[in-house]
Amino acid sequence: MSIITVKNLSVKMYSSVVLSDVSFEVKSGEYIGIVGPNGSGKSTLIRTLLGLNDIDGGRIEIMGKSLPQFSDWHKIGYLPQATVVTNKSFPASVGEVVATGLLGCKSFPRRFKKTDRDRVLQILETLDIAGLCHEQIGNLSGGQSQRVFLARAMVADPDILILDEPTAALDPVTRASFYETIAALNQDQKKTILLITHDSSTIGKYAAKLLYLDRRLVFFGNFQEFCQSRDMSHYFGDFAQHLICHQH
Amino acid sequence: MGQVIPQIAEALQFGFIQRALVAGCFIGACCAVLGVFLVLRRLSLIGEGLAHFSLAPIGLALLLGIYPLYLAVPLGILASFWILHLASRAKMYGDAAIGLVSAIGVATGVIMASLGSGFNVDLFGYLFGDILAVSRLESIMTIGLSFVVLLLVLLNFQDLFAIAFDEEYARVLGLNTERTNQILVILTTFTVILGIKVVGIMLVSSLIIFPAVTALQLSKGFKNAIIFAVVAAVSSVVMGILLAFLFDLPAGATIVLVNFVFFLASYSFRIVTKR
Repeated sequence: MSIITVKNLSVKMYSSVVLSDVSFEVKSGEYIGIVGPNGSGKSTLIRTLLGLNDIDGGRIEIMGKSLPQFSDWHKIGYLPQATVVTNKSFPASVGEVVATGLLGCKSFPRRFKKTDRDRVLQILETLDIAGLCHEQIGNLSGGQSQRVFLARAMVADPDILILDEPTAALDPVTRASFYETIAALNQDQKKTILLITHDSSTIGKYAAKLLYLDRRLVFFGNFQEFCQSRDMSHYFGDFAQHLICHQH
Repeated sequence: MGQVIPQIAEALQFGFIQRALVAGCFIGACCAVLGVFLVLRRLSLIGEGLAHFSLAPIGLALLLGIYPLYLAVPLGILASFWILHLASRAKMYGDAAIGLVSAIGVATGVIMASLGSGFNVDLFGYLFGDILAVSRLESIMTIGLSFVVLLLVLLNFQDLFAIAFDEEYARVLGLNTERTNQILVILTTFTVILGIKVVGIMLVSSLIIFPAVTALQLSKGFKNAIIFAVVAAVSSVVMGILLAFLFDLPAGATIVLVNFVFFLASYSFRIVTKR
């Protein structure tokens, strides 16, 4: 069953076309790696899926509802590209920040109960950062921030996780551990994952499908199809394509 | 010191001091609570802009002979929406939008003052505040409006916090960020206009900024920051009014300088303890 359907999507930013005629379907429980060069529209695509950008053409359906009608936003977890807290003195604890991820499933006036606080602790324990619960958010390292924002994205137990270049600021060890965590969420909890990355070779090890954007959809398919695609060997070069296929 | 306590006890017997303390504490608390949100969102100068803008409706009201707050509140709310509109739809930076609206208010207010030269003394009171002249009706109105402001902040607390921390993520969560921003500026308008009576148009933004920046030096959690800010604001109002009475100083300016001393103390504490 399709959990996300994108049909003939076009998006313009300041009158220049960023995405043109993009169509694809994501099935429940799939792990999709979204790749493409800088400025290819990867972030625009997921920001449009999240309702943050206007659509200029085409349509998006999430869980069977067209985007304007979709209201179950708590079923989507989002890890933005910039997870470094720029205002280091913001007086919020890790627990307070993670709890905001639960606000989407609460009605006005939004209040947290003990079950919510227990859920926050549980997700922090799952990600092995329970010790940071009372730490000020601005005091964390890049890797710790990344896990805290992943906890915020996961705390409402979403069906879909959308991750925008989550490993860009991480060292190789933390990066590998992060990929393992996401893979476990996909395999054990059947979460649908959409992950933007420039790390094409590593994503090949985890994702079931690749979506290659260059302002239009260049390729969308599984790795068997990717390895045989002449378009992809044109974009990546034969050696890089072979390397990605080998990793998978 | 031996003479100070009896003098304070004597001061507290006066009705105008009691009214000033009660009204000042409520306004201070509202300014402190809203100030934490506004400072963290880098919107603290909206208080300054709205205060300066209010010179226009206050001048117009004095010219027409009506109670200034009856015009200042609705026109202030319109001005705050105008700032939001300019900043979001007219692709103008927020500080530029605030500067533009505030300049129009000041210019209009100056023209009103020149047209009605007889009320310049009243206008002076609004420019620099006159908390010791708060009437019984004004103090009751202040308490009532402060309760409304604090109740609305309480009801929208989680939304305001989520937006202050990460507005884009709040939108992804499905929160109505536009509505919450409108509520924030309406509450700020009410509070600023009430605050004009305490410290005046020229200094009212300090009631919003000082308690918040004082609290932000000390607190790790968000709720603690709000509590510290309220404590700093209420303490500075009480100390400022009493010091002004004891040493025959202007109350509004004294409150602001006490706020500054609190900020210096919290800043020094943070530096010494390397928090």
